[in-house]
Amino acid sequence: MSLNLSKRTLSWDWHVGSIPENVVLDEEAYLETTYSFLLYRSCAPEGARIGRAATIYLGTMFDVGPGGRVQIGAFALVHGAWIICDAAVEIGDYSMISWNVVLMDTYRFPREIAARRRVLKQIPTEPLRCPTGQAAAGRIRIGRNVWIGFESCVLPGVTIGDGSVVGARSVVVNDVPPYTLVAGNPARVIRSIDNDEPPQLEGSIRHEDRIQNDLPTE
Amino acid sequence: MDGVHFAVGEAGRIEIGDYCYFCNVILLCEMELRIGNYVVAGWNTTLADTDFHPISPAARIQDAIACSPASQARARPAIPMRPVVIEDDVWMGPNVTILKGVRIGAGAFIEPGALITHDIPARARVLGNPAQVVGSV
Repeated sequence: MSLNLSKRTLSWDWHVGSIPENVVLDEEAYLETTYSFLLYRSCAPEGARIGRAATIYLGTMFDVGPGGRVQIGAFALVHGAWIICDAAVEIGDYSMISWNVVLMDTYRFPREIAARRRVLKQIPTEPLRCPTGQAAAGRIRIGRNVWIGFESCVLPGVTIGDGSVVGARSVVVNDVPPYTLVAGNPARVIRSIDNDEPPQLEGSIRHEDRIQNDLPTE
Repeated sequence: MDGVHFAVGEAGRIEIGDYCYFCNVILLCEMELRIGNYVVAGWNTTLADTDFHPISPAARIQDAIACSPASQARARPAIPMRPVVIEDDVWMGPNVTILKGVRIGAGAFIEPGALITHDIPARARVLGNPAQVVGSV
């Protein structure tokens, strides 16, 4: 079981593929298969960063457009999410993302019908037959220690605060405050959650500590 | 058409128009799915023109036997099916479900995760389960 950093391949991989050059994978992180990068086409200097001891299981797809950037924090567990990213998707430390969750920072197509027809007519001429990123995109930020239930969707521009929980099959349209349980389609606040986290968290820098120590908060 | 799952029964018929863009869509068809031009459907979206099994408990027992290895060619009970029609320029986000008999009007915008059991007027923006019209395009 090893990660070959020079070839950027995984010894256990069933898919014949490699980790793209502009992806930073922490050496303690686990990536189940490079198939997750089949639709990855980011040209950003750092198109994806997978943090310390994070886990990316089968079914996760990095559908990242040319300008997209994905950041996955330390100890995060991504159990098969579809990450549709043309701007930025950030998943905080300790967060757990369940199966068939959709995190989309863009609708990929313009909302206006005539403009959408132009993009659709263009697709057969594109080498990857993908829509080119003309649609608006708004960064998604999932805080630290957030749990997102299966088959939920998080829509463009949404921020989910630290410690919150999203119930299964929810569609998150609006921002979620920290330490809050939301559920439903569209998602609504069910109740707040007591913050009983220990003051010192292993391997992670708390948001409050970043502020106290004047560190960047992203 | 990338990763599209065509589950089409013997009498099923699917029609898809020009310049459509489907990604991992599940098409469940025992009768008819009619999809117009310039239709976009995102990941894990499901369209079905039938529920596949009856609702009545007695009919469901008959159906379970007819579908089993011991069916001895017994006929299945009647199961309701109604065609699904998606008109031109409809956009359907990921994890959308469209059930039997639904007609989606031209240019409608179906937000991710919506579950549609009734007709949607043209150019409506729809969200939720049950789906509600929340605006227009």
